[in-house]
Amino acid sequence: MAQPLQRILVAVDDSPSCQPALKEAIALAKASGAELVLAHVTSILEHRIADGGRGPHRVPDVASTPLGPACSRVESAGVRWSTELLLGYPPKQLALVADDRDVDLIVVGSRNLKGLKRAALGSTSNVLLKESSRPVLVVSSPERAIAAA
Amino acid sequence: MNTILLATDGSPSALEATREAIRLADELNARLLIVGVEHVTVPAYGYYGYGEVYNDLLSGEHVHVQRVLADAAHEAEDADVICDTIDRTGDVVDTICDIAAQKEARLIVVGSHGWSGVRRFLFGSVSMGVLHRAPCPVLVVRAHASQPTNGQVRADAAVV
Repeated sequence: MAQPLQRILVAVDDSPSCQPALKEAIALAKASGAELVLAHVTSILEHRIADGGRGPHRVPDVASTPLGPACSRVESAGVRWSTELLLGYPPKQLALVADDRDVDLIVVGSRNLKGLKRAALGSTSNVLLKESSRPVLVVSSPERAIAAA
Repeated sequence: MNTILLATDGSPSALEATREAIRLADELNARLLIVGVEHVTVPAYGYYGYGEVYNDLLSGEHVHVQRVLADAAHEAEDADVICDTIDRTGDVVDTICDIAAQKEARLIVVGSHGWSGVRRFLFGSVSMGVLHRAPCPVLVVRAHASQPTNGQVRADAAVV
């Protein structure tokens, strides 16, 4: 008999592609009763760019990151949840925390860059697929779903 | 009722994908649509006896796909998951994505690395093609994903 899902990790950031992924993760958690682990990876580089390197560079609190709105969304969906605020290279950190929390599934959004942009910028979902041995659910933006239909 | 599309070629990661697909179908109370695509890569020129060799390859692939589908369906039935199987011939990525669109699949489940053929050795072949063309979310599953061991060893094993 299939084992029920215990924990689902969902990568949260402030990009529009994150919203369909969060929606999908909530649906899966609701259906299975699994706990949602909301993970956001922040980078010191972002702070340096934001203030021109002048600092001080404070460690952000959860509520001031994209985890804040994600938490309230998950809470109102009535799903069990916890958060992970990480520092570093997003795909690597997501893969590490997925192992650490022993999640059954990682859910990420995809920006669906095409051609040169994709080659130049890379993509968290692509790198994560190589970094993690756990099942990865890649949720594309709705624009693409409509375009493909 | 939701449909989860499982694409399988019987490779180790596809077997792991089969387990995950069944688990999700069970959780989501969805039906499972198991898709096998017959795909033979042959040199594009004729030589003496070429036709026979080609036909052997085709029928070998047909037998293989049928067996893979039967095994996956059997596994789904053991878990009390309703399933159908589809056996098609053609381009693997296009076929999977077209069926997903036709059947309005809720999600597609694929293994990360398929069997045989140079293009399938490369990560970014079938699974990547499906990721970029799929009309719905795609779950990519690696071989032995359920065994939490040292990540490095496992990652290397999966790539080779």
